[in-house]
Amino acid sequence: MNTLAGADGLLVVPDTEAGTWAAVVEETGRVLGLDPHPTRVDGDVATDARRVWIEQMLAGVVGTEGPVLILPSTADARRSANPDRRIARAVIASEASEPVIGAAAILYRRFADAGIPTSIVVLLTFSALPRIWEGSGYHAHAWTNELRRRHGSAARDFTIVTGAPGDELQKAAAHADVLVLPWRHVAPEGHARLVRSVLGELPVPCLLVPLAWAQRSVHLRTPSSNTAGST
Amino acid sequence: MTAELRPSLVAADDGSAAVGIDGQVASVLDRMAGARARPEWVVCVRGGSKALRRVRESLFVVSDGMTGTRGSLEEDGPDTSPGLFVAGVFERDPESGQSLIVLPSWATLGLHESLPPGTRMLDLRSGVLWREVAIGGKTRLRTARWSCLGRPGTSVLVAAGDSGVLNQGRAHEVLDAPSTLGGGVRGVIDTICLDGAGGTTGTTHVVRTASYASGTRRLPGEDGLAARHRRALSVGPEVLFEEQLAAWGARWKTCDIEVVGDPELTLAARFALFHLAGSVADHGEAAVGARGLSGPSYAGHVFWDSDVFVLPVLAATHPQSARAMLEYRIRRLPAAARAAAALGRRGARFPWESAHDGSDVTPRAGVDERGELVPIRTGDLEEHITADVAWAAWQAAAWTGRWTTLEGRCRGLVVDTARYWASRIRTDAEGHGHIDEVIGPDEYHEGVDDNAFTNLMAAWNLRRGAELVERGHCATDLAEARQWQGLADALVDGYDPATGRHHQFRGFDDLEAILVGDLGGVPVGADVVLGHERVARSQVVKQADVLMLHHLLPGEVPPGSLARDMDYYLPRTAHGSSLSLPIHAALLARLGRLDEALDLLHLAQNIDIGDLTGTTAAGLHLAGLAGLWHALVFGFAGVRVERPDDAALTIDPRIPDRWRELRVRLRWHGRLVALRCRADAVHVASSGPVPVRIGNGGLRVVSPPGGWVPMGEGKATP
Repeated sequence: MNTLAGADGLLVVPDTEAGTWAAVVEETGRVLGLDPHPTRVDGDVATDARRVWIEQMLAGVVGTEGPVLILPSTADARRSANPDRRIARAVIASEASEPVIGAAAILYRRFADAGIPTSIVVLLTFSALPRIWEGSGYHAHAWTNELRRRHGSAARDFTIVTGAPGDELQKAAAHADVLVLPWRHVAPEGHARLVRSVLGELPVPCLLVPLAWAQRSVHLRTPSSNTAGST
Repeated sequence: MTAELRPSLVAADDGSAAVGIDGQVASVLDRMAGARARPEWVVCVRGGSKALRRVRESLFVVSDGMTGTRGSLEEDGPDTSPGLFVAGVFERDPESGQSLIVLPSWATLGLHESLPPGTRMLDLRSGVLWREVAIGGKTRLRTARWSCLGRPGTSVLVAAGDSGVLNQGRAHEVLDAPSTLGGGVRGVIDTICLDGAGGTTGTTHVVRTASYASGTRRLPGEDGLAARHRRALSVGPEVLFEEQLAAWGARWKTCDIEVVGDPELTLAARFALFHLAGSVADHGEAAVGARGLSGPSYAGHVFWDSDVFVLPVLAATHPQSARAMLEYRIRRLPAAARAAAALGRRGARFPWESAHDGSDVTPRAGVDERGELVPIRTGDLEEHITADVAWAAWQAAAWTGRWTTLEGRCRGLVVDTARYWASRIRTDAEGHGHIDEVIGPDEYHEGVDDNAFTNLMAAWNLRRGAELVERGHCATDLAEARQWQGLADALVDGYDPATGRHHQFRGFDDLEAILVGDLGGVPVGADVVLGHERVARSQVVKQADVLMLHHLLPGEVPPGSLARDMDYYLPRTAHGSSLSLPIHAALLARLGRLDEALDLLHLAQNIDIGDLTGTTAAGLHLAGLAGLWHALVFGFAGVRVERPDDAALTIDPRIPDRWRELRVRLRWHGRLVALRCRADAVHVASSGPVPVRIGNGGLRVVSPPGGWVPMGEGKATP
């Protein structure tokens, strides 16, 4: 855990998979304006004990301030449709709450500036509905339109889903090479259920970005699209 | 619509027009800065949340009954929704058929550098939106803008800023925006600038004056607009500002509300009245869309929101505007008659959504929360709108106290609609009347039979139509009027004497019994939580339906049924509409359940100010704003106005302990009436003798200067 807490830049875990995903790691670092730091986490990422590894990893990352790129186990990665291990498409998970929308919008802009086609998937939960929901038609149209605009006026590839969040993200990740998850940076049991559920079986790298860091990141250097390595 | 402001040859101004404007601009800005000392009159925002910027553009709309300008920052760019809406001017639109025209904002300024929003303040007392940007203790920019209430169609922006900040030159721009439906808008904008660069203060002063003219059939002439514009330019911003203070001052004298002891509620009530007044013209016809002149949502379409919620407020405070709203419906009676005939009916059937020509513009499909298309059946089935229009006409007459309001062309709003219902009702073998397959205000349940609200509104419409005929105001055969009375009596009303309450529609009690408390709090989007199909099979109600009857027709429901209906329907109501909360607050107040009433009132007052629907960015909920007035005036103050020949103004207040007094100003039977309602007495002041009935007391005539009238013995039974 101490190794996680002590590192700067973009943490990449586990360090043992970093070579396999070198292009994704480099690309993600460029998008965020951070240098990647492959970092060790005790435990075996590729075995039945993965859930234990995830708990250890989460306990460590709450001590960090920056984003963490979590690489899938080799077994899970075999299911990925990305044999080149590059970022051709990113998916950002969002929800209808203001802090997450703000972070998702900032991250969307960074990926878009890097020339990476990016989708936003809003996980709509009942508790995130506006206090007064006036129904389908004009209200839903105005609400979804405003939600889209709050994610950034350029967020054209924008989907709202209402199913089980974990399942929906797995579905969305099936069409992406990296899943970006803004999170509240709170890991104890009872929190971060979605993060745990996604990391359990994720076939592509998952970028966990603390909300506070995302807000601060507007001051970091912005990526240029001319170096985008994706196709 | 791709209309844009075009630079034109600079008008015959050699720069001399700018002489002296610095003093005028500074005077206006300095005086507005003082408005901050009146917190119950100002909506003030410091700093800028990017997420809320479009919400604030709606909250900060300035309007004059003809135009509404969104409250965008003067330098706003692509992430924003600036714009100008012109009342009643629609254009063909592939999405909604006909939609309110959206034009570029005139309230813009060029800046050399990007500035923060600073402090912004909408002063409701004067109708002026003011802004100040200070950086490092130094004021860099100040602006003030308003739409002239006394000169509808003319708007002014004044600004003073560092010469290094303001990048604005002298300009003359014009706009021609013909509508694809006929008519359109013309505009002309002049910018006068006194550049302070090199001067002693280094402050640049700018005045932008915009004038618009519109027509629904033909594009207005340029000459009339130019003449009006020249007059505005010639008097200058300081005089226009003085006029604005006077115009709003006069308006507030007839409509102000103050809740002594609750400054936030006072501000919310004034915010509502401000936007209602600015959204409705007081001459010609007024097409009042669901979002007024504040945003593009609902395509500017006119719903029952306008007739049932907005019109009573104006009938009670500014009757000319209520009359203009009726005129909109009167001119669309022929279209309503064609709609009835197309269905093989008689009389006039008003469309659920109306726009330019009165044809039905209700979309047949819309998106749900996931953006997927779902069918919309309100255009076919939400027929109570036809009786709502008649109710609005009657309401306007009841406030003026003049039967003449219902004479002439206005008669059709009551008589032709009654004739429609007479042809719509099915009579069964036992002689009972039925209205099959409708949607009531509760839109979760579609295609229901004998909806109590629709049936009772139709019965009321038939009786009032018959009454007008019998009064000799209409040349219709008296036999037809008697038939209408008979049909009204035969129409089933859903009232069950055994339970003492109304069935919302036939079979409602057999639906799945779900209480909204089980869905995780109220209000709740029950159609999302349960799904559209299950909510339709359940007893969960979207908004006041049976209870809306008690609000609109308190004299037509059995005594004591309000309490029974409230006990039954309130726990089943999701409040899935901005219209629901204030009506429930009003009725709970009537029942003396004041704590519950206040809880819902608190939500109602924040519908737009707190963006509780997540859609205020696309415009204000005009009927929700009007609902706040309904709750305070009809609910808490207990004002009751039913007929043009009411012998007295009935006032029966229910005042919560935490309020010291509820003060209401309104016009009744041509008199200006100022009420101060307390729990045990009402102070009545009026511009002339006015008969009143307070609580259960007898009729008393109060003459100027007015006085306190104690509550009658006991209180009226709700």
